[in-house]
Amino acid sequence: MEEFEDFVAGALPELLRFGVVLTGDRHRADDLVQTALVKTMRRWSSIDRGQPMAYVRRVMVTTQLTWWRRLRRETAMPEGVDVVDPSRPEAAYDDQDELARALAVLPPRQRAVVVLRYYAGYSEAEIAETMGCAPGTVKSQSAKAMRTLRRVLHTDEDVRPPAEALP
Amino acid sequence: MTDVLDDELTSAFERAHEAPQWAMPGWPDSAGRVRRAATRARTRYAAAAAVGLTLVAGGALAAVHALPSGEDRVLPSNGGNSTDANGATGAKWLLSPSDFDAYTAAHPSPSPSTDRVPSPAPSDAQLAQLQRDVSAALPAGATTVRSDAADGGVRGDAIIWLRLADGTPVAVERTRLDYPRVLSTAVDSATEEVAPEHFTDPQTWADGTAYTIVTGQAFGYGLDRQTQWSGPFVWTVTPDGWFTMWTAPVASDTLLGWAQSADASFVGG
Repeated sequence: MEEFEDFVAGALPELLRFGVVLTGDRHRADDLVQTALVKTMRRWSSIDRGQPMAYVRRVMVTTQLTWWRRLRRETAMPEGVDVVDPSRPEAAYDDQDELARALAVLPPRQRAVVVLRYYAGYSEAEIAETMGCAPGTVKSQSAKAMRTLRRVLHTDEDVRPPAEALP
Repeated sequence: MTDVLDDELTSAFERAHEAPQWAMPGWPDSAGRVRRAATRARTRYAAAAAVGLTLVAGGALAAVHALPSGEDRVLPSNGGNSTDANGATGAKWLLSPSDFDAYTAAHPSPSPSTDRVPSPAPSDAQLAQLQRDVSAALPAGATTVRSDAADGGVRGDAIIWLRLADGTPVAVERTRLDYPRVLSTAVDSATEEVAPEHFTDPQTWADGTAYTIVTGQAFGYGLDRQTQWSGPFVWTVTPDGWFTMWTAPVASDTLLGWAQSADASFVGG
Protein backbone atom coordinates (compact mmCIF):
# COMPACT_ATOMS: atom_id res chain seq x y z
CA MET A 1 0.00 0.00 0.00
CA GLU A 2 3.03 2.22 0.31
CA GLU A 3 3.05 2.47 -3.48
CA PHE A 4 -0.52 3.78 -3.43
CA GLU A 5 0.38 6.36 -0.80
CA ASP A 6 3.32 7.52 -2.89
CA PHE A 7 1.01 7.82 -5.88
CA VAL A 8 -1.46 9.91 -3.90
CA ALA A 9 1.26 12.20 -2.61
CA GLY A 10 2.64 12.77 -6.08
CA ALA A 11 -0.58 12.98 -8.07
CA LEU A 12 -2.74 14.95 -5.65
CA PRO A 13 -1.98 18.48 -6.91
CA GLU A 14 -2.77 17.52 -10.50
CA LEU A 15 -5.87 15.56 -9.50
CA LEU A 16 -7.22 18.50 -7.52
CA ARG A 17 -6.54 20.84 -10.41
CA PHE A 18 -8.28 18.46 -12.81
CA GLY A 19 -11.20 18.32 -10.38
CA VAL A 20 -11.56 22.09 -10.34
CA VAL A 21 -11.40 22.28 -14.14
CA LEU A 22 -13.94 19.48 -14.39
CA THR A 23 -16.42 20.87 -11.87
CA GLY A 24 -15.69 24.58 -11.54
CA ASP A 25 -16.14 24.19 -7.80
CA ARG A 26 -13.29 23.69 -5.34
CA HIS A 27 -15.42 22.02 -2.69
CA ARG A 28 -16.87 19.63 -5.23
CA ALA A 29 -13.42 18.96 -6.62
CA ASP A 30 -12.15 18.16 -3.16
CA ASP A 31 -14.94 15.65 -2.59
CA LEU A 32 -14.51 14.21 -6.05
CA VAL A 33 -10.80 13.54 -5.66
CA GLN A 34 -11.33 11.96 -2.25
CA THR A 35 -14.06 9.68 -3.56
CA ALA A 36 -12.02 8.71 -6.60
CA LEU A 37 -8.98 7.90 -4.51
CA VAL A 38 -11.02 5.72 -2.17
CA LYS A 39 -12.26 3.74 -5.15
CA THR A 40 -8.77 3.59 -6.59
CA MET A 41 -7.34 2.34 -3.30
CA ARG A 42 -9.75 -0.58 -3.31
CA ARG A 43 -8.75 -1.51 -6.84
CA TRP A 44 -5.08 -0.69 -6.52
CA SER A 45 -3.83 -4.26 -6.84
CA SER A 46 -5.51 -4.66 -10.23
CA ILE A 47 -4.86 -1.23 -11.73
CA ASP A 48 -2.39 -0.94 -14.55
CA ARG A 49 0.62 0.58 -12.85
CA GLY A 50 1.40 2.59 -15.94
CA GLN A 51 -2.05 4.20 -16.01
CA PRO A 52 -3.20 5.00 -12.46
CA MET A 53 -3.78 8.65 -13.33
CA ALA A 54 -6.05 7.69 -16.22
CA TYR A 55 -7.96 5.36 -13.92
CA VAL A 56 -8.49 8.06 -11.30
CA ARG A 57 -9.58 10.55 -13.92
CA ARG A 58 -12.09 8.08 -15.28
CA VAL A 59 -13.53 7.52 -11.81
CA MET A 60 -13.68 11.27 -11.24
CA VAL A 61 -15.58 11.86 -14.47
CA THR A 62 -18.08 9.06 -13.97
CA THR A 63 -18.58 9.99 -10.33
CA GLN A 64 -19.08 13.64 -11.17
CA LEU A 65 -21.74 12.75 -13.73
CA THR A 66 -23.42 10.36 -11.31
CA TRP A 67 -23.44 12.95 -8.55
CA TRP A 68 -24.86 15.51 -10.89
CA ARG A 69 -27.68 13.23 -11.93
CA ARG A 70 -28.41 12.33 -8.33
CA LEU A 71 -28.23 15.86 -7.00
CA ARG A 72 -30.26 17.24 -9.83
CA ARG A 73 -33.00 14.80 -8.99
CA GLU A 74 -32.90 15.16 -5.25
CA THR A 75 -31.78 18.58 -4.23
CA ALA A 76 -31.43 22.14 -5.27
CA MET A 77 -27.93 23.10 -6.28
CA PRO A 78 -26.39 24.91 -3.32
CA GLU A 79 -23.43 26.43 -5.06
CA GLY A 80 -22.44 28.19 -8.21
CA VAL A 81 -19.09 28.66 -9.84
CA ASP A 82 -16.33 29.56 -7.43
CA VAL A 83 -13.33 29.65 -9.72
CA VAL A 84 -13.87 33.24 -10.79
CA ASP A 85 -13.44 35.61 -7.88
CA PRO A 86 -16.30 38.13 -8.16
CA SER A 87 -14.41 40.63 -6.04
CA ARG A 88 -11.65 40.99 -8.60
CA PRO A 89 -11.89 44.04 -10.85
CA GLU A 90 -13.13 43.26 -14.33
CA ALA A 91 -9.96 44.68 -15.84
CA ALA A 92 -7.90 42.07 -14.05
CA TYR A 93 -9.70 39.15 -15.70
CA ASP A 94 -7.56 37.03 -17.95
CA ASP A 95 -8.21 34.21 -20.37
CA GLN A 96 -8.50 31.70 -17.54
CA ASP A 97 -11.32 33.65 -15.94
CA GLU A 98 -13.00 33.81 -19.32
CA LEU A 99 -12.51 30.06 -19.72
CA ALA A 100 -13.98 29.42 -16.29
CA ARG A 101 -17.09 31.45 -17.02
CA ALA A 102 -17.53 29.84 -20.40
CA LEU A 103 -17.21 26.33 -19.01
CA ALA A 104 -19.75 27.16 -16.33
CA VAL A 105 -22.39 27.52 -19.00
CA LEU A 106 -21.95 23.94 -20.16
CA PRO A 107 -23.96 21.06 -18.70
CA PRO A 108 -21.69 18.55 -16.93
CA ARG A 109 -21.51 15.97 -19.74
CA GLN A 110 -20.54 18.58 -22.31
CA ARG A 111 -18.09 20.10 -19.89
CA ALA A 112 -16.52 16.70 -19.26
CA VAL A 113 -16.07 16.13 -22.99
CA VAL A 114 -14.38 19.50 -23.45
CA VAL A 115 -12.14 19.10 -20.42
CA LEU A 116 -11.05 15.62 -21.42
CA ARG A 117 -10.40 16.73 -24.98
CA TYR A 118 -8.52 19.95 -24.34
CA TYR A 119 -7.19 19.71 -20.80
CA ALA A 120 -6.36 16.01 -20.64
CA GLY A 121 -5.61 15.71 -24.36
CA TYR A 122 -7.76 12.63 -24.89
CA SER A 123 -8.89 11.35 -28.27
CA GLU A 124 -12.60 10.84 -28.96
CA ALA A 125 -12.17 7.12 -28.41
CA GLU A 126 -10.46 7.71 -25.07
CA ILE A 127 -13.18 10.13 -24.03
CA ALA A 128 -15.85 7.60 -24.93
CA GLU A 129 -14.09 4.94 -22.89
CA THR A 130 -13.60 7.31 -19.96
CA MET A 131 -17.21 8.42 -19.92
CA GLY A 132 -18.59 4.99 -20.67
CA CYS A 133 -20.49 6.08 -23.75
CA ALA A 134 -20.39 5.61 -27.50
CA PRO A 135 -18.03 7.67 -29.68
CA GLY A 136 -21.06 9.09 -31.41
CA THR A 137 -22.27 10.48 -28.11
CA VAL A 138 -18.92 12.16 -27.62
CA LYS A 139 -19.23 13.74 -31.07
CA SER A 140 -22.72 15.07 -30.41
CA GLN A 141 -21.86 16.35 -26.94
CA SER A 142 -18.74 17.97 -28.30
CA ALA A 143 -20.63 19.65 -31.13
CA LYS A 144 -23.19 21.08 -28.72
CA ALA A 145 -20.47 22.29 -26.39
CA MET A 146 -18.56 23.96 -29.19
CA ARG A 147 -21.66 25.76 -30.41
CA THR A 148 -22.24 27.11 -26.92
CA LEU A 149 -18.61 28.03 -26.34
CA ARG A 150 -18.39 29.80 -29.68
CA ARG A 151 -21.42 31.86 -28.77
CA VAL A 152 -20.16 32.63 -25.27
CA LEU A 153 -16.53 33.32 -26.05
CA HIS A 154 -17.05 35.28 -29.21
CA THR A 155 -19.81 37.57 -28.01
CA ASP A 156 -20.33 39.80 -24.99
CA GLU A 157 -23.55 38.20 -23.94
CA ASP A 158 -24.33 37.53 -20.31
CA VAL A 159 -23.11 33.99 -19.63
CA ARG A 160 -24.88 33.41 -16.39
CA PRO A 161 -25.13 29.61 -16.19
CA PRO A 162 -28.54 27.96 -16.36
CA ALA A 163 -29.55 26.06 -13.26
CA GLU A 164 -28.93 22.67 -14.82
CA ALA A 165 -25.37 23.65 -15.69
CA LEU A 166 -24.25 24.38 -12.16
CA PRO A 167 -21.84 21.81 -10.85
CA MET B 1 -12.73 21.06 -34.33
CA THR B 2 -9.85 22.70 -36.16
CA ASP B 3 -10.94 26.31 -36.20
CA VAL B 4 -10.23 29.49 -34.27
CA LEU B 5 -12.21 28.30 -31.30
CA ASP B 6 -10.30 25.04 -31.30
CA ASP B 7 -7.02 26.92 -31.18
CA GLU B 8 -8.29 29.22 -28.46
CA LEU B 9 -9.38 26.33 -26.31
CA THR B 10 -6.17 24.42 -26.87
CA SER B 11 -4.16 27.42 -25.81
CA ALA B 12 -6.35 28.32 -22.82
CA PHE B 13 -6.41 24.76 -21.50
CA GLU B 14 -2.66 24.45 -21.85
CA ARG B 15 -2.28 27.43 -19.55
CA ALA B 16 -4.86 25.92 -17.20
CA HIS B 17 -2.23 23.38 -16.15
CA GLU B 18 -0.34 26.19 -14.44
CA ALA B 19 -2.85 29.01 -13.88
CA PRO B 20 -3.62 29.82 -10.23
CA GLN B 21 -7.39 29.96 -10.84
CA TRP B 22 -7.53 26.18 -10.98
CA ALA B 23 -5.11 25.40 -8.19
CA MET B 24 -6.08 23.97 -4.82
CA PRO B 25 -4.09 23.49 -1.63
CA GLY B 26 -3.00 19.92 -1.01
CA TRP B 27 -4.03 17.73 1.90
CA PRO B 28 -1.66 17.58 4.88
CA ASP B 29 -2.19 13.84 5.45
CA SER B 30 -3.39 12.71 2.04
CA ALA B 31 -3.08 8.94 2.51
CA GLY B 32 -4.64 9.07 5.96
CA ARG B 33 -7.52 11.12 4.66
CA VAL B 34 -8.20 8.56 1.93
CA ARG B 35 -8.12 5.71 4.46
CA ARG B 36 -10.56 7.47 6.76
CA ALA B 37 -12.82 8.33 3.87
CA ALA B 38 -12.79 4.69 2.83
CA THR B 39 -14.02 3.71 6.25
CA ARG B 40 -16.85 6.20 6.15
CA ALA B 41 -17.76 5.32 2.59
CA ARG B 42 -18.54 1.74 3.50
CA THR B 43 -21.90 2.80 4.84
CA ARG B 44 -22.87 4.89 1.87
CA TYR B 45 -22.71 2.46 -1.00
CA ALA B 46 -25.66 0.48 -2.16
CA ALA B 47 -25.65 -3.01 -0.77
CA ALA B 48 -25.32 -6.27 -2.64
CA ALA B 49 -24.77 -8.79 0.09
CA ALA B 50 -27.90 -9.17 2.15
CA VAL B 51 -27.48 -9.36 5.86
CA GLY B 52 -30.17 -10.77 8.09
CA LEU B 53 -31.78 -8.32 10.42
CA THR B 54 -33.38 -9.17 13.69
CA LEU B 55 -34.37 -6.34 15.92
CA VAL B 56 -34.57 -7.22 19.54
CA ALA B 57 -36.25 -4.31 21.22
CA GLY B 58 -35.02 -4.02 24.77
CA GLY B 59 -33.23 -7.29 24.27
CA ALA B 60 -30.56 -7.17 26.89
CA LEU B 61 -30.46 -10.94 27.25
CA ALA B 62 -30.54 -11.48 23.51
CA ALA B 63 -27.71 -9.03 23.15
CA VAL B 64 -25.49 -11.12 25.34
CA HIS B 65 -26.32 -14.24 23.36
CA ALA B 66 -25.41 -12.47 20.13
CA LEU B 67 -21.90 -11.71 21.26
CA PRO B 68 -18.99 -13.89 20.27
CA SER B 69 -17.65 -16.08 23.03
CA GLY B 70 -14.87 -14.69 25.15
CA GLU B 71 -13.77 -14.21 28.69
CA ASP B 72 -14.31 -10.50 28.52
CA ARG B 73 -17.99 -10.80 27.65
CA VAL B 74 -19.91 -7.64 28.29
CA LEU B 75 -22.91 -7.62 30.56
CA PRO B 76 -25.67 -5.24 29.57
CA SER B 77 -26.43 -2.38 31.86
CA ASN B 78 -28.71 0.56 31.99
CA GLY B 79 -27.49 4.08 31.41
CA GLY B 80 -26.92 6.57 28.68
CA ASN B 81 -29.94 7.48 26.66
CA SER B 82 -33.42 6.19 27.09
CA THR B 83 -35.95 5.43 24.42
CA ASP B 84 -37.60 8.49 23.01
CA ALA B 85 -41.16 9.62 23.65
CA ASN B 86 -42.47 7.19 21.07
CA GLY B 87 -40.54 4.27 22.45
CA ALA B 88 -38.20 4.19 19.48
CA THR B 89 -34.69 2.81 19.82
CA GLY B 90 -31.47 3.59 18.09
CA ALA B 91 -32.06 0.60 15.85
CA LYS B 92 -34.20 2.77 13.62
CA TRP B 93 -30.92 4.30 12.35
CA LEU B 94 -29.36 0.97 11.36
CA LEU B 95 -31.22 -0.55 8.43
CA SER B 96 -30.97 -3.75 6.49
CA PRO B 97 -30.21 -3.35 2.77
CA SER B 98 -33.84 -3.82 1.78
CA ASP B 99 -35.10 -1.42 4.44
CA PHE B 100 -32.40 1.05 3.50
CA ASP B 101 -33.42 0.89 -0.16
CA ALA B 102 -37.01 1.54 0.81
CA TYR B 103 -35.95 4.45 2.98
CA THR B 104 -33.80 6.05 0.30
CA ALA B 105 -36.62 5.74 -2.20
CA ALA B 106 -38.82 7.85 0.04
CA HIS B 107 -36.24 10.19 1.58
CA PRO B 108 -33.70 12.08 -0.52
CA SER B 109 -30.28 11.95 1.05
CA PRO B 110 -28.87 15.27 2.26
CA SER B 111 -26.55 17.06 -0.08
CA PRO B 112 -22.93 16.23 0.75
CA SER B 113 -21.94 19.83 0.15
CA THR B 114 -23.93 21.45 2.91
CA ASP B 115 -21.83 20.32 5.89
CA ARG B 116 -18.35 21.21 4.89
CA VAL B 117 -15.83 22.77 7.21
CA PRO B 118 -12.06 23.07 7.14
CA SER B 119 -10.01 20.31 8.65
CA PRO B 120 -8.46 20.19 11.15
CA ALA B 121 -11.10 22.20 12.92
CA PRO B 122 -10.74 23.69 16.39
CA SER B 123 -11.89 21.62 19.34
CA ASP B 124 -15.51 21.97 20.29
CA ALA B 125 -17.93 20.79 22.95
CA GLN B 126 -18.76 17.62 21.05
CA LEU B 127 -15.14 16.61 20.82
CA ALA B 128 -14.63 17.38 24.49
CA GLN B 129 -17.64 15.22 25.39
CA LEU B 130 -16.29 12.37 23.31
CA GLN B 131 -12.91 12.72 24.97
CA ARG B 132 -14.51 12.44 28.40
CA ASP B 133 -16.60 9.43 27.40
CA VAL B 134 -13.67 7.63 25.85
CA SER B 135 -11.32 8.35 28.72
CA ALA B 136 -13.85 7.00 31.19
CA ALA B 137 -14.29 3.80 29.18
CA LEU B 138 -10.71 2.85 28.35
CA PRO B 139 -8.22 1.31 30.76
CA ALA B 140 -6.02 3.70 32.69
CA GLY B 141 -2.94 4.86 30.86
CA ALA B 142 -4.53 5.49 27.46
CA THR B 143 -3.10 8.54 25.77
CA THR B 144 -4.62 10.62 23.00
CA VAL B 145 -2.41 10.73 19.92
CA ARG B 146 -4.51 13.23 18.05
CA SER B 147 -8.07 14.43 17.75
CA ASP B 148 -10.14 16.33 15.25
CA ALA B 149 -13.46 18.03 15.62
CA ALA B 150 -14.18 17.72 11.93
CA ASP B 151 -12.27 14.85 10.47
CA GLY B 152 -11.86 15.20 6.75
CA GLY B 153 -14.01 18.26 6.66
CA VAL B 154 -17.25 16.68 7.81
CA ARG B 155 -19.04 18.97 10.22
CA GLY B 156 -19.73 17.50 13.59
CA ASP B 157 -17.70 14.38 12.92
CA ALA B 158 -15.50 14.27 16.01
CA ILE B 159 -12.73 11.69 16.07
CA ILE B 160 -10.03 10.69 18.51
CA TRP B 161 -7.02 8.43 18.01
CA LEU B 162 -5.48 6.95 21.14
CA ARG B 163 -2.94 4.41 22.30
CA LEU B 164 -3.45 2.17 25.28
CA ALA B 165 -0.64 1.74 27.77
CA ASP B 166 0.54 -1.35 25.87
CA GLY B 167 0.62 0.57 22.60
CA THR B 168 -2.65 -0.77 21.16
CA PRO B 169 -4.19 1.86 18.87
CA VAL B 170 -7.84 2.86 19.22
CA ALA B 171 -9.97 5.17 17.11
CA VAL B 172 -13.37 6.53 18.10
CA GLU B 173 -15.58 8.65 15.91
CA ARG B 174 -18.89 10.28 16.77
CA THR B 175 -21.35 12.14 14.61
CA ARG B 176 -25.02 13.08 14.61
CA LEU B 177 -26.79 11.16 11.89
CA ASP B 178 -29.30 12.82 9.63
CA TYR B 179 -29.77 9.68 7.57
CA PRO B 180 -29.80 5.98 8.48
CA ARG B 181 -26.84 3.72 7.85
CA VAL B 182 -27.12 0.50 5.96
CA LEU B 183 -25.84 -2.69 7.51
CA SER B 184 -24.26 -4.31 4.53
CA THR B 185 -21.04 -5.21 2.93
CA ALA B 186 -19.66 -2.27 1.03
CA VAL B 187 -19.77 -2.46 -2.73
CA ASP B 188 -17.74 -0.10 -4.82
CA SER B 189 -20.26 1.33 -7.24
CA ALA B 190 -17.65 1.72 -9.98
CA THR B 191 -16.06 -1.68 -9.76
CA GLU B 192 -18.68 -3.91 -8.13
CA GLU B 193 -15.95 -4.99 -5.75
CA VAL B 194 -17.32 -6.42 -2.53
CA ALA B 195 -15.42 -5.77 0.68
CA PRO B 196 -15.00 -8.74 3.02
CA GLU B 197 -17.01 -7.36 5.90
CA HIS B 198 -19.57 -8.93 8.18
CA PHE B 199 -22.20 -7.24 10.28
CA THR B 200 -23.90 -8.71 13.29
CA ASP B 201 -27.59 -8.17 13.61
CA PRO B 202 -28.26 -4.90 15.45
CA GLN B 203 -29.15 -5.31 19.08
CA THR B 204 -30.41 -2.88 21.64
CA TRP B 205 -29.37 -2.31 25.18
CA ALA B 206 -32.02 -1.82 27.80
CA ASP B 207 -31.70 1.94 27.48
CA GLY B 208 -32.77 1.85 23.84
CA THR B 209 -29.31 2.39 22.39
CA ALA B 210 -28.63 0.10 19.47
CA TYR B 211 -25.31 -1.37 18.51
CA THR B 212 -23.88 -3.61 15.87
CA ILE B 213 -20.50 -5.20 15.37
CA VAL B 214 -18.68 -5.12 12.07
CA THR B 215 -15.75 -7.37 11.33
CA GLY B 216 -13.70 -7.86 8.23
CA GLN B 217 -10.53 -7.06 6.41
CA ALA B 218 -11.57 -3.85 4.72
CA PHE B 219 -9.38 -0.85 5.22
CA GLY B 220 -9.74 0.54 8.67
CA TYR B 221 -7.92 3.25 10.51
CA GLY B 222 -4.30 4.06 10.91
CA LEU B 223 -2.34 6.21 13.28
CA ASP B 224 0.52 6.34 10.84
CA ARG B 225 2.08 4.23 8.13
CA GLN B 226 3.33 1.69 10.64
CA THR B 227 0.13 1.45 12.67
CA GLN B 228 -2.82 0.38 10.55
CA TRP B 229 -5.45 -2.22 11.17
CA SER B 230 -8.72 -3.66 9.97
CA GLY B 231 -11.81 -4.40 12.08
CA PRO B 232 -13.53 -5.10 14.24
CA PHE B 233 -15.77 -2.10 14.44
CA VAL B 234 -18.56 -1.44 16.90
CA TRP B 235 -21.27 0.99 15.97
CA THR B 236 -23.64 2.39 18.55
CA VAL B 237 -26.43 4.82 17.91
CA THR B 238 -28.83 6.50 20.29
CA PRO B 239 -32.53 6.94 19.58
CA ASP B 240 -31.89 10.55 18.61
CA GLY B 241 -29.20 9.63 16.13
CA TRP B 242 -25.87 10.04 17.92
CA PHE B 243 -23.66 7.56 16.13
CA THR B 244 -20.36 6.41 17.62
CA MET B 245 -17.92 4.07 15.92
CA TRP B 246 -15.15 2.28 17.77
CA THR B 247 -12.33 0.38 16.18
CA ALA B 248 -9.17 -1.20 17.53
CA PRO B 249 -7.23 -4.41 16.88
CA VAL B 250 -8.71 -6.13 19.94
CA ALA B 251 -11.43 -8.72 20.58
CA SER B 252 -14.93 -7.67 19.61
CA ASP B 253 -16.13 -8.15 23.16
CA THR B 254 -13.45 -5.84 24.49
CA LEU B 255 -14.36 -3.20 21.98
CA LEU B 256 -18.04 -3.59 22.75
CA GLY B 257 -17.34 -3.20 26.44
CA TRP B 258 -15.60 0.11 25.86
CA ALA B 259 -18.39 1.29 23.59
CA GLN B 260 -21.03 0.37 26.09
CA SER B 261 -19.19 2.05 28.94
CA ALA B 262 -18.76 5.25 26.97
CA ASP B 263 -22.35 5.16 25.85
CA ALA B 264 -23.49 4.89 29.45
CA SER B 265 -21.93 8.24 30.27
CA PHE B 266 -22.98 9.94 27.06
CA VAL B 267 -26.01 12.14 27.42
CA GLY B 268 -26.28 13.43 23.88
CA GLY B 269 -25.08 16.61 22.27
